[in-house]
Amino acid sequence: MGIMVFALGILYGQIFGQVLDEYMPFLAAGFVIWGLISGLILGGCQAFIASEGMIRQLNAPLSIYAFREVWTGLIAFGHNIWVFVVAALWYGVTPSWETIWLIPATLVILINGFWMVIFFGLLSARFRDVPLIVGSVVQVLFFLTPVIWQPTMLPDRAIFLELNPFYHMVEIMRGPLLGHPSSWDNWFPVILITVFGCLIALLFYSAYRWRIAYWV
Amino acid sequence: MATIKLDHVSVSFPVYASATRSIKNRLMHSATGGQIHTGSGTNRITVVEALQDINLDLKTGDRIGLVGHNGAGKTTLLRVLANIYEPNEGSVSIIGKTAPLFDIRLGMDPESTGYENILLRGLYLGLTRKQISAHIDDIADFTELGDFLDLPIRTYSAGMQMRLAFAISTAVPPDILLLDEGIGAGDASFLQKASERLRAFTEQVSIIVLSSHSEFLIRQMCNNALLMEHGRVIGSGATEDVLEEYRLLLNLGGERAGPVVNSPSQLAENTNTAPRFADPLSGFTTENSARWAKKTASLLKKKRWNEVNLERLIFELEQLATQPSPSLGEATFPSGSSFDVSELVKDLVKNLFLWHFISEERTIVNREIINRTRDMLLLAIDSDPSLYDSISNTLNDAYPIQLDAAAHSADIDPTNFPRECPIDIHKFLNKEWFPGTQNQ
Repeated sequence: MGIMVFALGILYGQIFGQVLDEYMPFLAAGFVIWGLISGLILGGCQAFIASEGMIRQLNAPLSIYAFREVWTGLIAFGHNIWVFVVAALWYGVTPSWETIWLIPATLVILINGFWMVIFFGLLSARFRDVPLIVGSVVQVLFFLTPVIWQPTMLPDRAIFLELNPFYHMVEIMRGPLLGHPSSWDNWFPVILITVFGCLIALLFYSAYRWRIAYWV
Repeated sequence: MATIKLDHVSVSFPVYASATRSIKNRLMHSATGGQIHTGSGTNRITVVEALQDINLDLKTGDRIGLVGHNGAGKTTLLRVLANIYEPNEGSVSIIGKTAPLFDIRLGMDPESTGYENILLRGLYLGLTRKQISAHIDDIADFTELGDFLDLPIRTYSAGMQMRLAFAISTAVPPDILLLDEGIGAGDASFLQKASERLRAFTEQVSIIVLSSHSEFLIRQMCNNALLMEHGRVIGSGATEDVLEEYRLLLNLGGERAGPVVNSPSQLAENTNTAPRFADPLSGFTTENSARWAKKTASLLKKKRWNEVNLERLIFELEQLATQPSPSLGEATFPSGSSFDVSELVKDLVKNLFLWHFISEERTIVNREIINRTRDMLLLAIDSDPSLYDSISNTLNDAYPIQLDAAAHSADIDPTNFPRECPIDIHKFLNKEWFPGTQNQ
């Protein structure tokens, strides 16, 4: 990941005509956060399928497979964050009090990850083409979400940017990492997504939980 | 106090053909509006009725064997009992900590050390960290793996991994134990030790449900049995009766004839009236019945009345009355009558032949059965030395008959073996001797 961030940083920095001092930490933060979010979604699709053996032999609550996926995501994030730390030190990003916001932001992202794991895990257990579909969609979202490009590069704030939930998710974590103040404009959509996502996932889970053992 | 109650439980399985597993197809179909499925080809969702109308009422002390063909629903029933499958219909109520031991190696991580795997596997079994650390020394001792426990278990041999898995799985007895095909463990030298541990382990379990194709195993562990076919319970009752019915079913090539032992709806009453051990705390187990009988007899002789377990004595006496022909391992003791002893000898000869001919039969449990029969014979000789000759004679008589029978079931030519019994009674009763086994 470090190498990729470095190479892409040089390349896109040139293409977009960005100052590396600013662009490189931005890119590193974006990549690390995107890695966490996409990892949760893609891993979530496999959460129940991959644990087939366990599910059919163990009378454990099914949510442990979801928790396991979230925990895996967090551990991977804990490793990848060093890519950003190195970039931040090298290009002299100074942490501020705003950085504290990283903690609640990460927590909210993990809660979102949890419902996404449950939701996509359930769907994937029943419909086996869901992981493939989700895979392509996540790929497209990567380009639609400002990870390698900056929101400020858009001529005026395009509506599709505001409607992209992943933009807000990335932004609530990236802001604190770069020492920017976090914006209510980003937090509000994320909280909305969290509440609705949890509700939908909970509904699905309580309705279809007992079916998972038959599906996997 | 553990109980299991199944009330009109039915389980049906959707078996999805490939196309029905695609959300794309599903959405396309709903978009084109109410297409009628022809129910053929890859669009089919077949529903398999895995269990139909199962009623079950088990209490502490029950050891239930599930017998039946492949696909009769035995494993599905175990999974229902383990709370893995929630039934479509009916209700399941289970009180007590349940441990499904379908694969004792489940949840072991090859990269982690032996000690880490003890913790990991223990947690999977539903133990607390405290319980595990309380048992860790006992487990480590039992495996005899010593310093190997600090190495990742991928460096272990298959036998060593099996030992570790076995030791952890049998460390803390649950209230309800669900077994699919019993528990196996490692190499021959380990077998003896493993069988002792297994016995101690299963004695402490309140309810055991065991699914197996091995009649030995069922007879050894269970006091009641259920015969299943096509997802229904078609017979229940005492182990011997059900096994007999199962044999009948097999011989008839799957077609049923003759009266059913019990209809499923009668099951609830039946498990109450069938022979069973009433009180788990008094150690009512088949395993130590011979020893118990001897001890009780000596207490009675010495007139030490208040030390006698009266409840059990009454129970055993009732058993004698209700069960005129005792089967192997039942709670009756050969009280010197030559009839019982000759049955035991025949059983022993038969089991030794099966041990010799069929390598799959060389399990701890069968070893245990063989040695228990030997124990009973030795005890019988102990109490009545005159039996010695009659045992010798029975052995010689039983040998050719059992040879033919065993050779037939193992598909071996019996003419390769001597017609006269080649072993003497000392070898026959020697608990270290197992025919065809290398390290004797």
